[in-house]
Amino acid sequence: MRHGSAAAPDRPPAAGLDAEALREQLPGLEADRDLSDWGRSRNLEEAIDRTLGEFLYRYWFRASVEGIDNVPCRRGALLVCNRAGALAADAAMVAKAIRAEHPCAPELHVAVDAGLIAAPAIGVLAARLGAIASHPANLQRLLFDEQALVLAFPEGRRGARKPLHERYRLAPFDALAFVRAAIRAHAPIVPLAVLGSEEALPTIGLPGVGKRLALTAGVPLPARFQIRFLEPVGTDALPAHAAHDASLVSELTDRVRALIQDNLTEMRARRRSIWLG
Amino acid sequence: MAGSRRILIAGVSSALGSALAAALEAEPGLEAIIGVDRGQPRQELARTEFVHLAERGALVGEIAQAAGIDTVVDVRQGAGGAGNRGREPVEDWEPARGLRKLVLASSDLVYGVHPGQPAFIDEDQALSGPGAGAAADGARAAERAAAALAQRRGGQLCVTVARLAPIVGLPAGCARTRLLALPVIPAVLGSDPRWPLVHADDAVGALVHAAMNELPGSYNVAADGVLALSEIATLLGRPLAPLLFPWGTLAAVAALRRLGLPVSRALVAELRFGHGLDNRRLKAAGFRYRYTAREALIAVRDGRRDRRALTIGGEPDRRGGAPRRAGSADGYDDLSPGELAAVIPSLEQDGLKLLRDHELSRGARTAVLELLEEELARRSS
Repeated sequence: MRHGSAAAPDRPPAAGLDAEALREQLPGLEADRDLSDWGRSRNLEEAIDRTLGEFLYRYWFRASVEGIDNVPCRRGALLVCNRAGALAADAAMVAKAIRAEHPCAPELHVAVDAGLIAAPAIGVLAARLGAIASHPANLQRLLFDEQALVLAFPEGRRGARKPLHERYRLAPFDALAFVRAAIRAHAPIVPLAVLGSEEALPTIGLPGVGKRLALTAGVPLPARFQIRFLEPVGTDALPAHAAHDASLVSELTDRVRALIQDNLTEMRARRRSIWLG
Repeated sequence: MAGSRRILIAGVSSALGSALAAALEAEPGLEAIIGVDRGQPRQELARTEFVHLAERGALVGEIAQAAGIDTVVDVRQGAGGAGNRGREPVEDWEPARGLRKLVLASSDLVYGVHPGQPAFIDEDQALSGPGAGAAADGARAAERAAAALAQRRGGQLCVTVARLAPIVGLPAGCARTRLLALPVIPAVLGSDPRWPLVHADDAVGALVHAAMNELPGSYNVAADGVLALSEIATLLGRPLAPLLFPWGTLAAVAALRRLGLPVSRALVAELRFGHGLDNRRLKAAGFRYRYTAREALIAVRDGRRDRRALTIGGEPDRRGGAPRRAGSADGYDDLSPGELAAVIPSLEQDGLKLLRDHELSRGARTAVLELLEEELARRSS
């Protein structure tokens, strides 16, 4: 504990506060805390990672990863992924892939609906495992100030509810907030394509009901996962006002979506078997 | 603008006001410190002149004008408006024509609490969020009045709004700190809200910093580290009582109200969602926090021993102001030798020597002395 008079004296106020100045003032990490300021639990994550995560990644889904070097080391980046499958299998496997294969093993935060974080019990669990609400201020803090990785699923719930015959056909991206945040934070956008999660947790449309339900009750089928990280789309070269330029943002979004779609189609064509890859 | 010379503290009889007066008295270069409040001050003020604010008497602004005050620090809304018993409007700085600086202690309640907020609320957040409750209304009104005053006076007046997180280490305070003082902390089942906190020393220090420097604008005053309620409960060593929302919370609200703790919908929202504060603007403006949130709770917990610093309502059981510094042996007199026996092995060498001197100076208890001698002998062997 630091004591009053012995601590450093307060400095006179700095003139002009900008983003760089604020970034320097991030609170330091406290070693004896298990939870981070975001509510993320190191112990719980490690425990689940060592047991369930390992099992799913290596033996159940047998994930194969390409292009892991496209994920920057110690630098903020927005990872954009196709959402498929009802549960968080894709998010979990991407996070595990980065932790297992990447030389720096950076931490990944998953941007979810604010409603999920606020939900009782599930919200707390999600936050403990690295989920954050997709608020622009949160994205800015993670991408710019903390230089962390954020995984986003711009297809949103539409992606999770696609019927089986429409799988891997990307729904329109609701990615405005994410892309804007990446531009504002000068963070590269790393598109990634995940194959296998749609078959692992298939959703079917019940005739006459109109609603789409997950076919299996939360137990994922052992489809082979293929995770491909694509070349990052840089935002450094964009001008400062680009975040407010709607056409620029949508152009960037379309480019990312097209990249993911092309890769998904190619990966599907190359795939010989759903279960064996 | 010249530095502050004559300061007026509005709300000096509250815990925060007393601590602030004590801190300002230690500042060099202040010509005069005047404290103003409805009730009597809770401690002896060394060189602060106390002016009793009568029911229909002069306004704070009029007193400031008469005394030639150039800086007003208004803490009546701070600490969740606990000091503002009558909920009367407190925007009465207008008559102070010569005022150069106004420091308003507001609270983080002004942001409201709802799930759509960012994880770390910064000062630019609009104050129109729902879930604020009555306690926030007073603070919001005061902030609006301060902003209006700044606009009217142009560059003459520097207005600092300090939005204080719940303060640990002072008696009474906002609803959240009083909740933390209960022997069992109520919680909502399925939620582990994140709460910002600030140590009393830092809250007072921030207000002093604002009073002595030019800090126009709004600043969040919160310690580093946003703790989840479960973490807070663990640090304080208290159990959590999970309640099922909404039925359990309704029953608890009734019980707590009878205990004297005003519970509002806003407080229940705080228990369900919580929020963090972005405290970087004040740090970027040159203020140094001395305690992180965790350190603040540990300091208060250890400083308490068998005295409660976080009490419900009224009585402070030690004089307001800085908590005991480590290195003083004051708290040990109350402990029996048996309890001391448990503590002694964990003390540092210096602590042991200090305790021995303390015991000797006060008519030593033989049992304690023996324990100390034993421990010292063991250490040096």
